Amino acid sequence: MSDKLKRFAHNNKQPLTMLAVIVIMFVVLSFTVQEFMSYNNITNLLSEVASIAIMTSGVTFVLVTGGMDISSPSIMAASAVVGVYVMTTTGNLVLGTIVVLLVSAGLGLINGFAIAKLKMVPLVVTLSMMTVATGLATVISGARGLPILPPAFADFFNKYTVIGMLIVAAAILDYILYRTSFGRKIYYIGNNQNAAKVSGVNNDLIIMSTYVISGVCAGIAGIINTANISTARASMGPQSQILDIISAAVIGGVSVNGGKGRVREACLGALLIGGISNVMNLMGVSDYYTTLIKGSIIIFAMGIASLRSNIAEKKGA
Amino acid sequence: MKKFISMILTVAMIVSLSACSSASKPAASADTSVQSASSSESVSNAGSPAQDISNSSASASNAGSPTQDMSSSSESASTASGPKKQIKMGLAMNSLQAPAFHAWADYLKKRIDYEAAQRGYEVEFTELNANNDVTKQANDIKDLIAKGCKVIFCPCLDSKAILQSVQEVHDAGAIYVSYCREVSKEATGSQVPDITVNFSSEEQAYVGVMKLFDIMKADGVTPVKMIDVFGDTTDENSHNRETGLRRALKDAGYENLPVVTVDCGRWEPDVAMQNAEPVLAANPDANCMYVSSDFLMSGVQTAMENANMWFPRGEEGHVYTDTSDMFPIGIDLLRQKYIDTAVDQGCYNFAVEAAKSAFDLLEGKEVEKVQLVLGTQATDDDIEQVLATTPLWGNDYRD
Repeated sequence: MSDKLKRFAHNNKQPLTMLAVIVIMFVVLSFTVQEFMSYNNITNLLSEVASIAIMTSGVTFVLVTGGMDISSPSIMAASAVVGVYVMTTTGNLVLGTIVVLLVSAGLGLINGFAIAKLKMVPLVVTLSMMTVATGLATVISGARGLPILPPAFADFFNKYTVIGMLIVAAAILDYILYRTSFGRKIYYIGNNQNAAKVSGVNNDLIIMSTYVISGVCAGIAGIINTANISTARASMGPQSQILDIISAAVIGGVSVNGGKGRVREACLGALLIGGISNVMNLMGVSDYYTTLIKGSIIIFAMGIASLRSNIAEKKGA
Repeated sequence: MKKFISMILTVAMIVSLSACSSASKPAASADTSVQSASSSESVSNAGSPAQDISNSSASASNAGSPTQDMSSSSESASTASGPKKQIKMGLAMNSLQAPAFHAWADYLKKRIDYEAAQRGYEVEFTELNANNDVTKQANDIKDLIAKGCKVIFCPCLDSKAILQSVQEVHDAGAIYVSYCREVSKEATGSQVPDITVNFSSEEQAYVGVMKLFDIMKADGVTPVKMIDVFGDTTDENSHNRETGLRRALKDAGYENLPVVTVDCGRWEPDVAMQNAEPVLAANPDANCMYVSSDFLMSGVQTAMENANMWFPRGEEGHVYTDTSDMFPIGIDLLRQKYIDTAVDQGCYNFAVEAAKSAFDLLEGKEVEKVQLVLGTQATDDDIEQVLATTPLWGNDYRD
């Protein structure tokens, strides 16, 4: 039993460490911030974190290949706006929800095609997509904004459904990335793209697929955010949100150089980031400090990741 | 090693949080943050825009400027004594990117301090900032509810998207104050805010133009032709101000006064300049002007200089001018007598009315659901006195 526990602990060092950090943070905060551990706040926290965590999960696939996707929040907003437009013009909520996923997958596919097939630089492609998607959302929502959806939509995607969606999506995506041959190819490409190609991996297809997954995850986040405000707006996906997403992934141990990271840890990173925002809000800390602390944490986390990588390299040498 | 680093990270984070939290102490815990008791008189003017606000600026002068040392007030004796009632209030700001938004937040905090001290409350005030993110504003309101705020003030980013949040506030048994913004007219049932405090853009133009005609009459000048620098045509406030202008022309007996309109694009001073130049060249006999916002004055000034119509009051060729908003440039031009009268956006008056009404509602008193508040009026004659005595956002936040 003891050996099993040791092996389990050894194999799950990263998530256990993350969990320990979160648990310690929660315990300390439950004593220092009066409302933190209330049922209402914890469910709020999880539902607020859901959209960021799901987008982080999608972006994790891209990061593991060694790519970069900064268009996720804009794709989220654009797909949600198109979906809500369809919902309000046809009156069909299910069709609109499907359209959200299709649009987000389509925008992700364009990213993937440009990067994998046309060999364009990921940062430039996704930066351009960010502009295009924001423009699309602005044009469709118009000056007066889209109408409000019937209460049925928000009632269905209530905070408990959203928490459920987060758990299911994280579990499925983690399984795909870590347990399937498709996922192993992603790690392979991230570690050494040329070696993967020589070994017969269809790099272009795999890379394109990761951008599509990232797009679909943005679409799911779009559905969650739409339910949150009962409509959709271009301003749903501010560019600053990408900082939260990349921070969550990096804190969760995903390497921005590729080849390393898991969805479950990235989601824990999102929970940590969301937890910081939530606690700051409960404590009434100025937004300026929140940004400052978040920025400091990402620099700190990236510093540790870089240090570990250097140590590993030295040991290897 | 990793665990050790993680522990350090957690401790550092918690220490940082604790350090930061020291800035968010209860807003009103002592009688020291009390202002003049006569401040409530200014509210009556703020709430009744049809009145002559030249009086209101005098009463507003007693309302207590945020620039004053509030702790030195001699009125502390008038505050409620005995044990204080604990209450939490929250403000879910739309953004803090514009100076006026800082004014909304800061003035509100000060007025809550004041009302709390007067009524015997100790308020824990939490201010959050959505940074123009409509989803974050919804989440911020959820967090304020979870924190136990009984009153939530909110300048909404989106008048429709906020409706679900208004409903959630009501479901939690709290009060929603739509602050400096109105929610969509599609709101029904519990989506309707308990109180809406917004500015009365129509009255802003009306009282300003009426005052302008008074000044011209006093100077023995008869209006010949008016230049109307229209605001952004997609902004409802521009149309409200136009309505106020037309009503003033009618009430002052100048219904048939020729009015030539200048378009400003989307509140763009350079567009106003480009469009004003040909209009001024074609209408050199115009001797009065209404500018929908003095934010446009840099462009208007250039156009008037080019048309040789830019003279201060007292010099021949002066064009009598009324503006709305009182941006810093508006205040400066009032001082230099290029603008004759202006009505400010009323940021301070919003705060006065919002804080008072929120406490009234908490105490079970009847309040007006929609309160259109008028800003302070100043003329080139009394601007120095107004600045010395009344909080004007364009002056307090000019830097």
